[in-house]
Amino acid sequence: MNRGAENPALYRTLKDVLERQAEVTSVRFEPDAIQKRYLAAAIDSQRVVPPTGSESPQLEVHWKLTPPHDEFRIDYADPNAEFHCGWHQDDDHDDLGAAHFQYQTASMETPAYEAVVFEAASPPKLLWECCEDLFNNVIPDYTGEL
Amino acid sequence: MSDEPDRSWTNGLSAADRVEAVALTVGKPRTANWIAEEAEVAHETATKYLTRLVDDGTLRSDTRGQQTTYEPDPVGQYLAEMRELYEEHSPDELAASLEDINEQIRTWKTKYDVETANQLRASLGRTDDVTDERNRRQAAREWDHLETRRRLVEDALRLYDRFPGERRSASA
Repeated sequence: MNRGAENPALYRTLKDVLERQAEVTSVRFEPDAIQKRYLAAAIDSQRVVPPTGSESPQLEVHWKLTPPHDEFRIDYADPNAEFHCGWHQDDDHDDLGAAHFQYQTASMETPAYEAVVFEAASPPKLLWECCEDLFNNVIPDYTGEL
Repeated sequence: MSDEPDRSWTNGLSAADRVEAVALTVGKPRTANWIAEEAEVAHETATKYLTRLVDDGTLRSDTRGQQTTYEPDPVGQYLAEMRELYEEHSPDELAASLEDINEQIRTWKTKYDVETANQLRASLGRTDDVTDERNRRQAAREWDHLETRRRLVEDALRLYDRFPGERRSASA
């Protein structure tokens, strides 16, 4: 692609990855499918493990292709458990390396940050890896004791 | 845990879907080897699907010496996006969204006293406030994105001038 030209297939491909997750009920572009500024997936609160309250948790994905390291934010928020977490690769927290994971449970006053290294290099595989970690490990580990 | 369902990348997507997803999102041209490794398929499998995607205009390839690289075909991707905007949105929706985009860009221009996203980027070194710097960086990123979307929406509206009333998914 020409330098500076955005690749419209990026968000279309990431939307497909989100739609394939068992916990996801719908995926929409925000603020609409014309502007496509980011993706927002609604999560079925009864399909996550452990099940959470009546409100639907949300998973948001912002992504920009910027070689050699893309900039992205993958954020999960569960209003029932007051739990937030996210994988960010941006210029924040350079001390932790290119990417970091952050989370905050209801009892924490400030988020905790950890360095993270991904096996995947391409956006759809990386998003898949994060979803797998989120639903298999992160949610059970951090909201399980509630 | 052993009772966890296998939700791995290779179990969730077919080989063809993985090759296409990886090839469509490369940040720079990549070899079939690189794509095969990411997609977790054999080299021959990747080459088979990549050739098919080049043939239908989804990807383009470039061969130099022994090496062939692949990336999204810019014309193919532009046309796919144009078709989607034309078929799924009325001219009124497109015009309303265009106005939202212009309004957002005007807001950034006023707020940061700059004319372009690059001028906003150039201002990053002049602020000591970490939060302000982060907001500026994020705004510049979003600004680039909206400039791209604006050009696409303008082109889609021109498509309506040329083909008025021929939209297939008539929701209006």
